[in-house]
Amino acid sequence: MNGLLISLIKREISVVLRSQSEFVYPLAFFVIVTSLFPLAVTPDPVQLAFLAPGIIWVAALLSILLSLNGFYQADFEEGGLEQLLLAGVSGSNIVIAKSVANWLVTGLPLVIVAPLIGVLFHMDIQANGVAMLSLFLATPTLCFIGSIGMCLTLGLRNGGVLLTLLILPLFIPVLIFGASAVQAASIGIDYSGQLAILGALLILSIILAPYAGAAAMKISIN
Amino acid sequence: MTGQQALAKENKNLQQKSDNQLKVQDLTVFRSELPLFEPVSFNMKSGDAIQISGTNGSGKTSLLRCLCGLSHRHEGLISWNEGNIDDDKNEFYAQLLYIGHALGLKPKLSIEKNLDFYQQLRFPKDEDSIVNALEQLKIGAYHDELVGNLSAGQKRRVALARILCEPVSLWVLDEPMVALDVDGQNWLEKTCNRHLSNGGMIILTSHQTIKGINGLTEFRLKETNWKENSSLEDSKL
Repeated sequence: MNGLLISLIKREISVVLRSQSEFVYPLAFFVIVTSLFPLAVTPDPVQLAFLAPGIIWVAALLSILLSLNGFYQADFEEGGLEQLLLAGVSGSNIVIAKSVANWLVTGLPLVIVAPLIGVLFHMDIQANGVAMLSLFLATPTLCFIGSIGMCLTLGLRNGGVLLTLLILPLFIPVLIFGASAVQAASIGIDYSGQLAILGALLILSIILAPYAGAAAMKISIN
Repeated sequence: MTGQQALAKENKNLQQKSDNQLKVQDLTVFRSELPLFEPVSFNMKSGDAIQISGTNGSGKTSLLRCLCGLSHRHEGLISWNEGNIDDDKNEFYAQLLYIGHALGLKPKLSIEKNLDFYQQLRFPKDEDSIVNALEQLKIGAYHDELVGNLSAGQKRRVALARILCEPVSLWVLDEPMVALDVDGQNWLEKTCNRHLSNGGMIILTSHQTIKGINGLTEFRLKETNWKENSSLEDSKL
């Protein structure tokens, strides 16, 4: 990783950390949504442990979706994106920097908080560990995939709805394999296949998303 | 560093590349398939300044965005030092500074951090030039203030400070006078003159007549007559 990328990432993070709502909100959303389920569905430990993988995964996916906007929309409207392009920074570098920053600010806290939620849901230690590992592998994928959708919907008035429609289908494979890895771990069967696929999706998204995002950004700025 | 030394350093920076050429041939910008203005052609060499004027919506900003290669809704040729700007973007961008309506400043970062970041994207860190620029623009006292807390005029001043911090030869300024007070406008004219005498180039848009910039040629965008034609056709129907 070169100096340019690091300085871009630092800038993204310092901007987001200054607007508390943008980085606290997704995490708070995750905690609130997951902690409402025991109240609304059932306090029964067996049933909760059964529901937990799905709930944690859906909440994590939605909170990543929620966090994407803060990294792109304002930068586009303030003219920061075009200034970066004019300074010779390639679109794919911008996408990489934003996705990495997005993961550090939103994805990583989710990975850290998830085991606590797991305990709340009476998940056993192994399932909890797999939940953490699967989120660790998959949240960066979600950030990278989300960046493509964000770049496509920059500057659109109702971009949020369109963004959801565009990228949810791409999020679904990640959700299926992520939740199923945790499910498998909780009933004690082999989960390495699902984790391998999550890893493969991660590599694929890191390689392809910057190019797709850069092309989409070019169209949006045009 | 004293003011004079800073000035000398600035001049040296500006002189580094002073033999450039920007050629625009038959350039028209399209919006929803229709040309915005009659094709324009002009040549610029080091030391030239052009003011593009026209009515609201005549395509001034679109023209500048095409010149910078941000937008590709145009037909015609734009070449920098004999090469199409799309072929050798890096060489062109190394000599270009564009300040548009959206100033590109992060409201949540301080003035200094904003300027610092843009400077270091392309040039080695030079804190003196930033301090000097802010002093000249009379916002030196606020260097730690968040850009979001500034007034419109002050924000414009911060964005314009970049023309001193980043020594490039082509300045493309979209309505640089907007929100500036008389003092700021005088400063801008003076700075532009110095840039031109050092072999720089300036393209700007403005609705007001700018008298203070030496050799500024005004270029009026002529609206295409498709608007008249289409209204005629409408009335026939």
